[in-house]
Amino acid sequence: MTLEKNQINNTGDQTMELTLVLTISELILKHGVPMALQLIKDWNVENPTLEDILELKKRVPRPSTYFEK
Amino acid sequence: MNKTRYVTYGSMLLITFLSILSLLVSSCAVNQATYEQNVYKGLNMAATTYESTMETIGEAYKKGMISEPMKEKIIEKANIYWKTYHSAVLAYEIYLRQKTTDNKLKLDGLVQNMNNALVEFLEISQTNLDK
Repeated sequence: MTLEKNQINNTGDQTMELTLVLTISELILKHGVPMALQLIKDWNVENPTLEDILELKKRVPRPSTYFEK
Repeated sequence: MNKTRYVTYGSMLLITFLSILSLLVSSCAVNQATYEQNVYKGLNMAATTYESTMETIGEAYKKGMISEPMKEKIIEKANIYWKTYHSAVLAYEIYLRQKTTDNKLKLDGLVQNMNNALVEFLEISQTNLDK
């Protein structure tokens, strides 16, 4: 029974990972290698430090900045 | 880049974000030891999704593909997301400094608010690019 549950969970995880890989692949096609590298870098952080938080604070500028001509 | 491509792009971002969110939520439930990493990854991925979407919208606006009223609607939702994102980042910093149950609960609530705001922002962005 436990083995069956694990098998089901593994299949679900594998499906999620495949979906993730496919959608990220499409984003890479749209945005190129720099975005891919950023995503991989973000994903591989083992232990976030306070310096990493400072980087997060610098991200997400106010919406109006994207409409400046 | 034509309108169809913008719409496809909007849908794709929404699907990507929801896929990543589901993956993070399921891994959080399975492995408590990686809670901090998962929150960090979630914040980063949400930031990347917002930035990419806003760059696309900004580009579409400059090309005259988005009207002023549409722009205002998008900015309204984006501002809500902007506030929730920075609140969640602040709560994350507080949690890393003091790992108490209370701080964890506050962080969980704020991350949830941020995710909801991002989904609403992506939905309205997609709808407006569709028109």
